Amino acid sequence: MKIESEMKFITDDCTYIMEDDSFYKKMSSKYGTKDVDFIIKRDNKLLFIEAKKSSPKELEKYIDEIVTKFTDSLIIFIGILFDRKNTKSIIITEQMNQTGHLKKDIQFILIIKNAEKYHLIPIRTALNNKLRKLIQMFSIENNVFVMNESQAISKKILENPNI
Amino acid sequence: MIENFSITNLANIKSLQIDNLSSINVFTGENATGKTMILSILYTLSKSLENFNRGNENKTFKEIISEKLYWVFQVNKLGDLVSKDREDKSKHFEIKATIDNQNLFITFGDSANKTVGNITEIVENRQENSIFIPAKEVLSLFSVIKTSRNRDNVFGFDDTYLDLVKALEQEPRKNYKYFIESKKILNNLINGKILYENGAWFFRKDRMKISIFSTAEGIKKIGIIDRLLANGYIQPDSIMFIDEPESFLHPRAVVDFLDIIALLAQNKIQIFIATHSYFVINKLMLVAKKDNIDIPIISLAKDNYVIDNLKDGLPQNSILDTLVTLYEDELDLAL
Repeated sequence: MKIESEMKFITDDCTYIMEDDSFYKKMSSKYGTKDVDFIIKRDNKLLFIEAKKSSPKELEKYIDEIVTKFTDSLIIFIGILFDRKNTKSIIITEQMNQTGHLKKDIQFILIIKNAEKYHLIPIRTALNNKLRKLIQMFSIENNVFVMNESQAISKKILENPNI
Repeated sequence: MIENFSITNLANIKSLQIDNLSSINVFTGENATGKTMILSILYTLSKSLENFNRGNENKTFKEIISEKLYWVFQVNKLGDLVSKDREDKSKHFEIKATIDNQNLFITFGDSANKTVGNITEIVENRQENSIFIPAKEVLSLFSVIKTSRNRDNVFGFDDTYLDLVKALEQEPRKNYKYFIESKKILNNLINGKILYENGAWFFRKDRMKISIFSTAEGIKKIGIIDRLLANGYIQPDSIMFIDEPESFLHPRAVVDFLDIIALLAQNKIQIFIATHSYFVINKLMLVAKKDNIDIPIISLAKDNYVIDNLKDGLPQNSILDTLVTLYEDELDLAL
């Protein structure tokens, strides 16, 4: 389990946390590279998950930041799986480090802890619009989602506090 | 201005009381919950007040409102408008309202034929016009409406249509000082204007004159408002009742259209809207926040209703619930 944006994420061998990798720390401080909080393998899918505590106050800035995180993370993750020199991971599990994963469906998921359900749909629309190029390149059509804490619990991405 | 009203036993509406009406007011809810009916009954009241004592009209208010109810609702007898309970026991319809500071009261039972029962006897007439914009457009049906109702006096197009047709016939005024900004936005929105020449409607764009039958529905809808502003039928203190502004309009045009509505509301026109549209509700929430005005939204269900203020954000209602449900179904399919 790892806490991000005050939410308890379920983690296991099928989870990769980029920010814990030393190459990423260097890359981030030198080039301002951004990462998502979790990359998770689930069945035949790769989930790129970003966590936020609250809904945007300035939508465009908020969306731009998340788009950068999804984009950088996807490219870096491809670099890791292809064993590129500058993205050699020392923490990735065997479960996660398989080039075959690149054939899986990719999903971008933003989880906003305190969002009203009604607010999720326009945020998702804005995110979809900004990610259009990447969605086309990697065939991620219909796989961008925004959910709140209770929905993420029901999808077993977060721990259920009642269990 | 309609300041408040209450309705008891009108068709599906058992009881409804709305105080503190504002410059813009919204009714939403599933089909057959009475949204249009509420707009129609309020229109009947305000229009009857306008017709009372106008010119040489010598009918009593009771006669005027009885006739208006008959032609707006087009029922065989007025009593058919009264709700019935499961045992089919007789009930009384009642409406109370405060319009321009005067209290009005009308009631009748389910046996009422062509005349209402008890009614406020002494009323002052209203000077300003009310208008009802139905969901269907009227321009291409113009002559049919006039013939069926004005000449043949048959049911089909109710009085909201006939009154609109009559209002549209009035010629635009030259140098009319009101609503210049609104008219500019409207003209930009449709890139032209509608014209009435020799008994036929046209849409004029640049130098082209297009028959109304070949004109897009959305243009006709916006063109109607433009015409009513240009000919001065809508004036400060008028009341507009707009049924489903979203019909025939692209969401982008709905948003622009509502900007004009907000501008009209700032110019002392009271607006009542019935809608099914998420875009309409969302846009009006933004209007309420930006202009810092109260916009009551009444969400009607089968047996009850909830009143919220769009200034406080989007309320929970069946339209938004449906959107969320659809989205959650999509999440279930994907994850």
